Formats: sequence, structure tokens, C-alpha cells
Amino acid sequence: MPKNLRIKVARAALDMSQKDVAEAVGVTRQTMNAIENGDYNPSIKLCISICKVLGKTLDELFWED
Amino acid sequence: MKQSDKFDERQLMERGKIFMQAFLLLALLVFIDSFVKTLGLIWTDYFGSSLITIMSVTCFASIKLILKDSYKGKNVGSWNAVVILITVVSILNILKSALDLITGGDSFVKNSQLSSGGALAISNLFLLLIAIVYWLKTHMDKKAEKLMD
Repeated sequence: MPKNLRIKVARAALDMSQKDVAEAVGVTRQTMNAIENGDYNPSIKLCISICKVLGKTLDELFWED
Repeated sequence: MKQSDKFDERQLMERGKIFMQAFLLLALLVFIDSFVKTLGLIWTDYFGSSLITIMSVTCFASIKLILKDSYKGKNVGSWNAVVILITVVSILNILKSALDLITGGDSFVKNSQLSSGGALAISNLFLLLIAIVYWLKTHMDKKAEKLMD
């Protein structure tokens, strides 16, 4: 799976670390890291939680072009 | 608290995969042990073979879980306490076994078979290996977090 740089960019725009986002959505930092590196495909529930925390839509963060 | 509350979805998935692998490994080792004993090669007593089989599978699964960041859940503090206990107990037991060996109080091999003391020593080595991998991984994770910040 390709890396998800959009999550990283959205996180950086809000000045949030991986740990901050992970704690906000209820996962570990390592899981957040795996999602950003494309090593783990999150469930739709987790995707929605991440979108809510970062203030983005599912398309903006997870749609593959 | 539900098990799913302690681990996130990725960790639960990894744990499921690794526990299945551990179960298959356990079945394989039990089969190999019984096959070897049927051939007449009594390498240790029932206690020793059970202990080594279970501890080797535990070691395999624990190390895989640690490397996949699925060993400890969200409450890191309590896991650290457990691993500290494992570290201390395994070191103390290994030192005791070494002392017994040096003073001649016990031997690892008796009548060409691994003794119970030997089986216990090997089990403690497995426990210590788990602890070493855990602390190394924790140290590496802390370094990675500092680099990210």
C-alpha cells in the first residue's frame, strides 16, 4: 500500500504529532505510524475518527487517485 | 474492561494472526516431541518437555508481538510493571541455576536426559529473551518518538 502523505500534511497543518492524533482517535502511535506508512489499512470507523480529528473528509484523506 | 478496549484494531488483528501461528507451532512441537519419544529418544521427562514446549511457543509469540507493536496495549504502565517482574524473576532464577551448577548442587543433564533443573533454566532463558527484546524495542521506540518531535 502506498504511503498516506495526506494524513501527515493535515496533521502538520494542525501542529499535531502522531501521538496527539493517535490519542485523539484511541489508537497507539505505532498504529498511526503504520497507517501513514501504508502498512495498515484502517477500518472505516477509524478512518472517520481520523477525519473528524483532522477536520477533513474521507475523500480528502483516504481516496486513492 | 473489554479486551478490545486495551488494544486497538490493528493490534487485535496482529494478535489474532500471531496467536494462530503460536497454536500451530505448539501443535507441531507436541507432535515432534511425541514422535521423538516414540523412537525411544527420551530427551527429558514429561514436566521438562511440557515446560520447554510451552515456553518456546510463548517466547516465539511474545517476541513477534513485541516486534509488531502489539504486545502492550494502551495502558503502557501496567505492561512495563509486568515485564520488570519477568526480567527480575528470570535473572534471579538463572543466577540460582548457575550457582547450583557451579557448586554441584544440581546438574542440567542426568542419565543422558535434560533434568527438571535444566528445563527450568532453559525456560528462564526464554523469559529473559522476551524481556531483553521488550526493553530494546521500548528504547528504540522512544528514540524514534524523539526524532519525530
